[in-house]
Amino acid sequence: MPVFDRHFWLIVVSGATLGLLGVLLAVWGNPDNSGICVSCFVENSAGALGLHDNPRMQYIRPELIGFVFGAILSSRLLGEFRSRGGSAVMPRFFSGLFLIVGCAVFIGCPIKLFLRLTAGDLTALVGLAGLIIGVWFGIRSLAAGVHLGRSEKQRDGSGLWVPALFLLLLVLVLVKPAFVRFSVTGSAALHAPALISLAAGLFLGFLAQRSRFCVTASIRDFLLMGRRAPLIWGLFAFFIVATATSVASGGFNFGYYGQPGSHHDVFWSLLGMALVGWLSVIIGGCPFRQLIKAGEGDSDAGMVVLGMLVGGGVVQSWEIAATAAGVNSFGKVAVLVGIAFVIILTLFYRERGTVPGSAT
Amino acid sequence: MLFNTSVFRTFICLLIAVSLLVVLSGCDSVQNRPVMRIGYMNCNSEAETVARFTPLTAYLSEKLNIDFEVIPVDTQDFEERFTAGEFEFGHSNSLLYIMLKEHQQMQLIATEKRGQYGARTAGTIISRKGSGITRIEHLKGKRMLFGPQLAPSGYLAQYDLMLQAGFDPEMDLDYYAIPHGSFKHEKVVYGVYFGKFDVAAAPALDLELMTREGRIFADDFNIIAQSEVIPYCTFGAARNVPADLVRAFRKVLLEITPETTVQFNGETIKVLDSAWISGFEQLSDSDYDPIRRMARNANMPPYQEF
Amino acid sequence: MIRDLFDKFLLLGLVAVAVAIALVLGGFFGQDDALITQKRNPAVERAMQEKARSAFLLETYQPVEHLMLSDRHAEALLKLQEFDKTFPGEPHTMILRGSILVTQGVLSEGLAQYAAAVKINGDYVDEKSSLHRRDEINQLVESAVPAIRKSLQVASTPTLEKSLRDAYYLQSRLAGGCE
Repeated sequence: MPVFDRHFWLIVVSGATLGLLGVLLAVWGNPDNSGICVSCFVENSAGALGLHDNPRMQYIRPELIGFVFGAILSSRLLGEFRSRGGSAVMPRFFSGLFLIVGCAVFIGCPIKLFLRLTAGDLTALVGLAGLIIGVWFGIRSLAAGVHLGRSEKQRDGSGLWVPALFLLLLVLVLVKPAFVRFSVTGSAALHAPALISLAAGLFLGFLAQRSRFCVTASIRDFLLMGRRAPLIWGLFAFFIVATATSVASGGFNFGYYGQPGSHHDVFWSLLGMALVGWLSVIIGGCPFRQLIKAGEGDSDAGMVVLGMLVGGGVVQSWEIAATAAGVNSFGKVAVLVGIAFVIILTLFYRERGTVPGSAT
Repeated sequence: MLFNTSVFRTFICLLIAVSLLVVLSGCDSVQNRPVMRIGYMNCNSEAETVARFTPLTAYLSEKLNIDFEVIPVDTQDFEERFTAGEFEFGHSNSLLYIMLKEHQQMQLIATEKRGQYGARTAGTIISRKGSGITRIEHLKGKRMLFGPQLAPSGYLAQYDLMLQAGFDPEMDLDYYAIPHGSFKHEKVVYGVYFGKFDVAAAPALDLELMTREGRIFADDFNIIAQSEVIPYCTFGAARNVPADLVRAFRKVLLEITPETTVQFNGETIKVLDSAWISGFEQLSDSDYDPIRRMARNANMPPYQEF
Repeated sequence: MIRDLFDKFLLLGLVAVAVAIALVLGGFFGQDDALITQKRNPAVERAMQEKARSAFLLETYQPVEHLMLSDRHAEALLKLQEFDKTFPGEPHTMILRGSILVTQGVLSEGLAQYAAAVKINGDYVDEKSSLHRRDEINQLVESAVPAIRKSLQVASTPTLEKSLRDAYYLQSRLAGGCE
């Protein structure tokens, strides 16, 4: 069993709050089962910025801005904001891109996976299996010596660029200049009031930075340490609170068919989430955690976030994203390319010498 | 000097022997394939029937390892020739299927899909726009063109429609005719279009195809009535065809997609395109009950009483 | 951070750039189209485009809808054939055809048309769109799914399986999601 200290309870509270707000944001206007979905939100935001032209997926999601700013606030208050980075910058960029590819093929990030499960969507079970498999491969890769390199302390300010980008996004949300696109129909037209989304994002970002909560890390730690891992209790809390909130709000619909934002191409759902799980372990966190770390001044995570933004544009423009009709050939190829990418990454970044830190 | 060596001579003999063996073994396997015949009901002409259905037949031969022959058959002769055992499989309209089912226990294989109704079709009664003929009651004393008598959507369905409306085509029409020759369904449409007849019995499929091809416009006609939808052209098998073969035949048909091709006369041909159809569907015998009801009501085969 | 004259010079330059940005956005150097946002409110433009498209479709297809309301479904289907030539691939043709086919009892072909239309244009299941047909599609799905499942229990055919997939797809789109 874990140590029931302050950090443990912080993790539980973070998970519970994520589950609660994840469901409530859907009740307040976000798409069904997508109260919080980092990949969908990134695709929407990319569309708003003109990175793709799907008219149904264009809206800068204030939640993303809130996550980053909440993390900045928390890290600054407690002296944890540190500009750092410089390790495997380009691989991290492409990792971010392929994280979105994997999520887009499943139709959801790991947070949305659990939100779908807690809403009774049985198609998410396959995604969960894929995520666990991917995390396991990630653990095996780390154990085999895969290491993207140590993040170095950087000069003051370098960790502020990605937060500055999100500040710009906030300005764009508030000012709404002509070049920013906003959907009037489709899923991006479904959103909670901007201030509520921002506030929820701030609160969650703050908590997540304090607790280091991360869905894939929870699974990773559970596979490594079992019930002693505190993070898995955060995930349990997420699951229980989200399920209860779903039932209470009338959004619980148990079944395999007719679920919002889901498809029945089980093999590709599994593969997409496996890609996400594997990559997340190697780069140190799921898409949500990357946003939080970017808010802490980690410019490596910032590169992942930039890759995610580009990925959000690519999956829509190149028709990689799956739909309720299933995964098309472009999506299948993209996931396979992603798998190839993570294998190559694993091969190139595997330390094979006996001296720790020495590369081949 | 090389050509004089005994080794070289032996080699050439061996080569010839092996080649002969290969050729003969190939012939042997072709000769061992059973031969069966598919009777295809002629819609317009033998030549058209053969051109349409030979690639499909070749595909069936390839998949089932049976040498199928294409036998074009006139509608009027279909039942007689099927009863005489001239072909084991039949492709005919759905009324003929019912007749053969009733009289010869024909086994239902699959129904052809064509047009927007898929494996179904319907019969309509049409008049020229502006003629003032918009209801069946207006048909009294009018001149009507029908399609062939054994056409379920070109004669039977419309005849039944009129009877259901309390209208007796034999007594209440001034005159009705059936065009001679081929392309009867199109002739009935043109007959009304050019004012030679007041109304016509037009299959919904033909109206659809002619509109799609721009030969007529939707606004040219009133569709006075349309029958309920009924199954379209049907593949069936004689009662003595083994059930396994019937199942296999059906499976092959149902699995054909628009991209399925066959090598035929040195060309790669899309099977469905060449047959002018969009696929096959498995219906049940009870799906043909509307035609049975129509046939009974209209005193048509196989239920006619004299 | 500010150590010498050069640093001060750089800081001054930064302030000057910030002031210049403010002046440009404030229109000090002249208003141009990019700044006159009130004439090109993107949300209003988008809404107008959507309304214009919907109005165009509803007006253009009005003869077909009139025939459907008069129960002249056969003529409506013929009219849709002509629209297929004028507007090939237009989902509005498909959805109207689907509606007629379902009315005439051709469920599998009708479902296929509905699913094809919604795949191309999700507005038909979007409450915010003036083209939406949520109630109609909902009713169709609610009646079709149990009927198809019942038929599948008797005999499983590829057509029935495809029809069920189409019905589930429509059900999923009605439920919402990120599309």
